[in-house]
Amino acid sequence: MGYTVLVVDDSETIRGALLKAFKMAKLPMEEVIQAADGREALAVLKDKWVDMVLTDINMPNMGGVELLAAMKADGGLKDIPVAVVSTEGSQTRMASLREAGIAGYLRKPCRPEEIRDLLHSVLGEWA
Amino acid sequence: MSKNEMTQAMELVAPRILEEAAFIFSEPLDAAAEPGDDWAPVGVQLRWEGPSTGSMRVWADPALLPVLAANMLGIEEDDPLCMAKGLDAAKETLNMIVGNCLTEAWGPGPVFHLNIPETVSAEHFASDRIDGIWLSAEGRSMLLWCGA
Repeated sequence: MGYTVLVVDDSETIRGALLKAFKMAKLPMEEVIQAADGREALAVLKDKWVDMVLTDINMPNMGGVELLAAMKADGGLKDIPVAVVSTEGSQTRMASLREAGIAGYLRKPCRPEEIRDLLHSVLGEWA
Repeated sequence: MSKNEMTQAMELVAPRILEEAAFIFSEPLDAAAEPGDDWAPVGVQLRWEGPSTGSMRVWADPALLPVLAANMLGIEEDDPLCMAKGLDAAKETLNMIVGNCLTEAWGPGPVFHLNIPETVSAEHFASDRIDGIWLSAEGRSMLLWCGA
């Protein structure tokens, strides 16, 4: 038993690096599902319950901001916490994302401890 | 922001990102050690729009790409996955350098739109090397360039 997390990033390397970080942080992961953009993420979420979504902002087809908006507009998905993991460091951007309902924000490159702290703060520590 | 300010940010930020994201240590490359005209690097580019519009390119020794991928993914360099993911690793490293450079140069206020990183044609290399910044990363050459 552990967290089920959906990682959304168009880079396979970044998705792999996040998987590595989950292991390094010794996080109890039940399942890590991957999607390459917002559209794929929404398709996953139709069939699968997840505890949390970690998403990049800039992706082809559908970016993280659009994914967040689509989830907040869907009664079945609006309560799933969404955190953004991005290279962007604009506080203006972060403020607008917080207004839109994100649960957290990490800037790439991020350390395993930061990812652990984010999951703990959003989902609570796994007992 | 002048091109010079972004170049200064690039000089400061790129070595930090290489170290933090990929555990790759870099230093300025001596002019005498710069590769000759027969060097055949891999080039990746990222464009941005916002208060300023510009692009940054990284030209890297092809042998550096699997090292980037191996270190980012936490696997051995001789794993076939590293060869397959090397270009993606270079693109994402550039993405992190640009995102962090823009904040370094402009501060945390402005919002920029970063495009998707892409491979770039070798024809740009000859002009980029005139005013780019050379680094030695794990003993392999790398050129960083930014401009309009």
